[in-house]
Amino acid sequence: MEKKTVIETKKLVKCYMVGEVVTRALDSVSIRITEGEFVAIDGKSGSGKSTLLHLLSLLDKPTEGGVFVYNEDTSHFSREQRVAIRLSTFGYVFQDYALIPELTALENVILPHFMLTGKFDDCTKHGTELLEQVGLGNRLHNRPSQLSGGEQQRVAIARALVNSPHVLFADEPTANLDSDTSENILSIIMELHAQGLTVLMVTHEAEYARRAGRIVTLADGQVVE
Amino acid sequence: MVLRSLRVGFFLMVRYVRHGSSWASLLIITIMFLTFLNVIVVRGVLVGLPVGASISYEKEYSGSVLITPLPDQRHIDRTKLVESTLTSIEGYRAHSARYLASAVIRANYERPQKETRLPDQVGTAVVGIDPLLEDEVTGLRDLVVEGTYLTEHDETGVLLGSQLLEQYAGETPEAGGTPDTTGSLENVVPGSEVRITIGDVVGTYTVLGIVEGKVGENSRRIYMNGERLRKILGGSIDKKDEIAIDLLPSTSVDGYVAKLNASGIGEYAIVQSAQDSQGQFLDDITQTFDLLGTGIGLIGIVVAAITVFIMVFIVALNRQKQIGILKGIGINRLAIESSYVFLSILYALVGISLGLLVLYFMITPYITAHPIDFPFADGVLVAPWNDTFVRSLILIVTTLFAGYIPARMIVQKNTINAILGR
Repeated sequence: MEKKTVIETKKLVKCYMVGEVVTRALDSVSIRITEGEFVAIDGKSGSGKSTLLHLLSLLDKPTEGGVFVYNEDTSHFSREQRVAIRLSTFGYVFQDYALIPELTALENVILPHFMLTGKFDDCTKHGTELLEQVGLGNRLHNRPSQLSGGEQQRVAIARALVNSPHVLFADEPTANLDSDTSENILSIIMELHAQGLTVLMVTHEAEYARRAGRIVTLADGQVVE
Repeated sequence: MVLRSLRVGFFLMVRYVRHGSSWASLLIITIMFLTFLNVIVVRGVLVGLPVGASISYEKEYSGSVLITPLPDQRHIDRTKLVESTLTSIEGYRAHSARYLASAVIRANYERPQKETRLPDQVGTAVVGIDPLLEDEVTGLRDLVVEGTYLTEHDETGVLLGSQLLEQYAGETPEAGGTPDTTGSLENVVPGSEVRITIGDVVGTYTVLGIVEGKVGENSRRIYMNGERLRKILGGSIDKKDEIAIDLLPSTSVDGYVAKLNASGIGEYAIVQSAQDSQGQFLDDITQTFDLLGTGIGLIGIVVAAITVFIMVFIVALNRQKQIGILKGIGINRLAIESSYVFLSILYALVGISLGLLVLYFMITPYITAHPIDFPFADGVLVAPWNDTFVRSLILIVTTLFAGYIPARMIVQKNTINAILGR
């Protein structure tokens, strides 16, 4: 039985204006991500990896072409609809953790769930469980500045998972971490994939990319393999 | 969804306050506090000037109700009937019926005259009173700043308004023909003898005391025993010129006036509340000062709005990346914007609350106990609760917009550009 397509892009183009020069960051990228896949997007710096992830996760809009989520064209989606999909369907792990400094680890994790459900007590319970799962059960009330890089990234993963997303986007999740911590983060992601989660991970580390089920390599904004 | 977004906005606001910059919060709260005082107190003091003058007029001169002759009459006809009627109406406490006449007062009349110098004299009004009743209604005894008060047995003693005297008024009669009403007498103190001409009757009197009040009428008059003045004028005991009535504290002044008029007194005299007897001028000046105070307050509100706008803009700009992240993880615009709106409202509420505490527990009691001493009035602070509430509400709404607009400007920014700081 053919697996369901979660995200598909058709001739995706993204251009940036750098001064008066138009730079084509992505050039006619067409890919398809099916349910339960673990796709690594790799390529050299400036190849358009992160740009592609931003477009796939609806953080940004393409200049041309379309992004289809469950076969629905998102080009006509309003800003609020895109936010709603990011809240309920996608989970995103940023390269630099992107935690809110005024919030504790637990508050950072529960925030999207609070937005989705509005039930604070349930959120707290759920958030605590998730942080315990990533090994931070004893750091619930620490703020990001009181956590190490690896701990912050684990909080970010817990936050990305809090609404039980269909797809997990990870933008170079190990970029700022030492090798041991990177291994730890990667094993968490692999475990999530093993549980059936669709994962799209941008990485420039060939070794990490090889652990994915499929590798999409970009060069100069185009898919090369 | 809206309620959920607002709850998330409130949740974020609480965390911003708890873990954000306390100096920035303190600065905005201080600005809100000062703006509140500017909006309420400046206007309150400005309006308090004419209101204070009005209170002084009522307290020192007219009483709660003032009865004066009809426009085509020189005196209040059938004064005895008027007096017996006004005492019979509920709410009455005391009244003082006065005789009034024009007079010329001359001092230093034994001093050798130089050709270049005019006699030391001033034209003014003389009022004949019952000293006890007058004190009962207007507290005239307390206005005596030098010497002693008039007694009912003083046949040749008078009280002089301070503005008739050079040492208080600071001016002397100017060279000219007739006695003027703006000049003043030199070297007159309690115990001095003055010559007063009332009609054709010239008499020598001893100055018993000097009266100084906030009301111009009091400070430019001569006071003597009413019976003495009536004899000089040769008038009837039933034709007095002015009746000031003091009412019991809980009495409705308008109700009392209405009852007096309904009893037929209006046929013999004009019955007016203290407020009405002061004429349109005081109302006009109160409104003008109110407008002026509101204008100044408005400038304060605009300045506060701009300050809050700038502060929230800077705070939101510094949190631009975080706002992008919030959008990135699915927090909607309303939740993010409302967090800044709640923050602004909180600043406004804390600033206003502090302002209210200072206003009603420090400034107002202090000014009530120590009125601002203006020449024409005891300046009071007019800050009624309902007016304060409305102005506070305006301040809150203004702050709300001042917080919302910059937050919206930042939230509108492209999500990924905000996250990446582009």
